[in-house]
Amino acid sequence: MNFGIIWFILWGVLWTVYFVLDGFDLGAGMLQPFIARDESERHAVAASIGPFWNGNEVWLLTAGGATFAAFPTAYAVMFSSLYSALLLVLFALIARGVALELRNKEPGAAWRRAWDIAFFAGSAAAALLFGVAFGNIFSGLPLDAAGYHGSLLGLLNPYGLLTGVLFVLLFLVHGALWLAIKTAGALSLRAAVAAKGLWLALVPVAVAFLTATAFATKLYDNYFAHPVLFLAPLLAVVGLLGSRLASGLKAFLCSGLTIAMVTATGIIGLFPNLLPSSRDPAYSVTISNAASSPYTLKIMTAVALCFVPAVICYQLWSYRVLRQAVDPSRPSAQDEVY
Amino acid sequence: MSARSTSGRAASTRRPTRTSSAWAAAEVGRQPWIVYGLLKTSDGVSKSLSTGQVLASLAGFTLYYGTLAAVDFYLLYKNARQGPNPAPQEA
Repeated sequence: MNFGIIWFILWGVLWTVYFVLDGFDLGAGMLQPFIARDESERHAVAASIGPFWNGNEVWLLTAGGATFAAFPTAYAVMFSSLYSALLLVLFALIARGVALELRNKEPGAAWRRAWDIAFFAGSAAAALLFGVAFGNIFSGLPLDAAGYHGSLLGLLNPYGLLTGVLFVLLFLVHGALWLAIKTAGALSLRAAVAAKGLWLALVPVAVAFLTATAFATKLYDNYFAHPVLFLAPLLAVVGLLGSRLASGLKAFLCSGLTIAMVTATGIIGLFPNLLPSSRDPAYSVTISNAASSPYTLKIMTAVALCFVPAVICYQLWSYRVLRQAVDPSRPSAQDEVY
Repeated sequence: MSARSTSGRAASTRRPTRTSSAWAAAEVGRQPWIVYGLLKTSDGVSKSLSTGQVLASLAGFTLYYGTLAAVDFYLLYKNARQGPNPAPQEA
């Protein structure tokens, strides 16, 4: 097995873990204005993700960093082609991060309302734009010998928008199920009801996405060549059903499985392309034309094998230590930090 | 760094300026290379980016970080004026 393939798999795993983890806190941010009825509940929504969201976003940095180091050409093409779109993602992530840090720094209602708007808008924009970006990557970017020929508005094509809406709904369900287990009282019950309603909206969009993928992309080619790969979309469906039929932590883990397998379905379909060209496959960015030297990849593999397990361990540990739900009716001194 | 500059109020405001100017000196001094001796800046420029996009993003960053800096200075000022909180009472 060559290191290029190992790093393609790791590239996929990093994006997958990022969407599973940041998915629930982006979802919680999008839900906050609709699900929280007073200041203590709005605070509880923010506090439930307070200790986790920035750790989750480390996986985004790692995904970007791994793209840079393992597939420098893919990094260059991705960040210069999708420059304006990724800049908007960055602004959105800054807005919600700052909102979480600053909303409790002043007691005034107007101050908190302003940051809650930033929290909502940043979360929603990031979720939508990540979907739009990946939808366009799945269907191919207009790349040829002269480079990229698209525009920001060109990214908002029907398939890109459909993937954007899919991501928003996946994260909303995931976020609602998170709030159902990580908050208490009426807020938690309302979140569980919201998850059921949002699930009904998600199903037709997921079906539309899987169908449109057959026409707008070449992702299924790999699946017809190796039918065993259909396990990934099948597990996505299992997760989708589980997130409705199960409750509590199990439902949350099922919605996580759905996000993981939807991402995996796309990335398996891309192989061996990282950024397929919609103009001519000769200009696609692939493992073989984008990878760093085998020596670089070998060093990176050794480093990843040492540190990724450590990161996974301390993140799991932090979820365990902070496993208690946030009760809006009983604010604790610890909550005030967030 | 002289002893005088490390003491007192002036040093705390000068230090970030020094870090930034050292950074700028390194960037400017390296030109026309982006990776010294290996890659010219002109060869490293992205082909698919327009000047307008770069200008818009620079303006966006300036405005965005400017606003955040203003909010930050406001909070720092307010908290510095207020002084430290009294020790929390045991419930």
